[in-house]
Amino acid sequence: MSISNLSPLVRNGLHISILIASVGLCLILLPSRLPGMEILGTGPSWLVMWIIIWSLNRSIWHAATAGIVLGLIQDGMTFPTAATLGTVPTHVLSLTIVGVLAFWLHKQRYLDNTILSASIAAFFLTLVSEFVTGLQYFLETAIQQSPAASMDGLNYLWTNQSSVVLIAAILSGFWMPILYYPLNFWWQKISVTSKFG
Amino acid sequence: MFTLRRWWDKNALRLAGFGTVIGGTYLVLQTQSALVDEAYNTISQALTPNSRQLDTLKTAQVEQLQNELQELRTQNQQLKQLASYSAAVPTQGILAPIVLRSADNWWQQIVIGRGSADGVAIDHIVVGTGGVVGRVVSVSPHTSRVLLISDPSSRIGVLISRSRNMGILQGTRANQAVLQFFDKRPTVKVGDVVSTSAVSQLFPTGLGVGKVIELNLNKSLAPEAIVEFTAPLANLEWVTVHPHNPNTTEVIPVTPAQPAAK
Repeated sequence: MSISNLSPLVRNGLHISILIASVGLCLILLPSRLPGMEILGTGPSWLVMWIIIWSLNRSIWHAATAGIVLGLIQDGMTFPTAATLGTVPTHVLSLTIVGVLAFWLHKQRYLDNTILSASIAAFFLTLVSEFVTGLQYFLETAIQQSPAASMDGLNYLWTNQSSVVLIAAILSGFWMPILYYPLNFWWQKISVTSKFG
Repeated sequence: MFTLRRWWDKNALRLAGFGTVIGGTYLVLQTQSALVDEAYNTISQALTPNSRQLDTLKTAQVEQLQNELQELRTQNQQLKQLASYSAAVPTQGILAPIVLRSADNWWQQIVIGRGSADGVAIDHIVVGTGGVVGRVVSVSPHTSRVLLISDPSSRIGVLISRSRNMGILQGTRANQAVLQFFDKRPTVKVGDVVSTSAVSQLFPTGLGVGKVIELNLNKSLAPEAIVEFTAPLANLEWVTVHPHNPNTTEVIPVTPAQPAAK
């Protein structure tokens, strides 16, 4: 069964359904803490991994759009009450920056189509996304309360969150192959036979 | 003799393989496939709480009972001075399993396996082994999301059970929280029990929250204490959800006393 033998309708339908299914899998895995997939209560950042694989061989607009969409979905999964656009801190900012950086890394040939570079990119981009989120918390406290309060909060942030962020980055790099192999294989296959980006 | 030897040369390996398979299956039959059951048990053991977690939960339960006892003692002393008093009957609560954790590393939330179809609604209180765990912030038909007390956006009105000094408790994303007192010179020492106060509208009064483990009474803004939660938030498996309406202050029905006309 070759991809080019299928009709365009079936091919596009398969592309879209795999897209939705892979995002859905990442979203379900995100709040789960399966034994073996978590360390000290922290799991990998599945959405960061997905965006990295999506940003390979795609335009910067594709990467940024993926960051915005997945950021909004993750916001919906974490905000306590239904919030409007523009609520800070948001995941839209961190995931969009991850998408754009992944695109840039790919353009600079640091992130090529090998599993090792993808895992290392997952490690560093998870660190970047968590840093951006932490920066949003810091700036929000500084603006809403006072710079002194934000420095106080920074103290607790550093002691509690630094280990969490590092664990998330290590797990993301470690579990990257499980997403990378199937998704990259499929997307390379479908990009060869059609110009569906 | 020669043909037998030739047959043996040809089929010995095949016979050995066949014999092993039959023998192995017979062994499985004799032990009633205990191997399969043990393999399943080993796999599912990974999904059940280990003994260390159970010990933590048991210790937390003992601590919770002690905290509640402390709170009851202090209340009892005060109530002896009142004419007569009848407290609201506590509800049984809906038992819920913890299904998922937070979808990112910043919000401290859990998802429990009971939703609107089971009677859970927003602002209901969630209590686990050891004390208060959080409150329900969003509900779907079969699940609800609970904001834990360890989240920085969770600010609870609490008091020290012993000295009744009040303050606000704010989470720090860990198992400890910061308690800022209202008084400039509060009476507090390490080991004091902390429970929810009447100032808190989101939580009913008198629920055990934690124990003081450190004091920073010389902070510029307000005296602070570090409180450790008695509920082991990371190890919980089951919680109970109690209905709570934060719009009304907790009205405790007081039957009017017979005037002591002696």
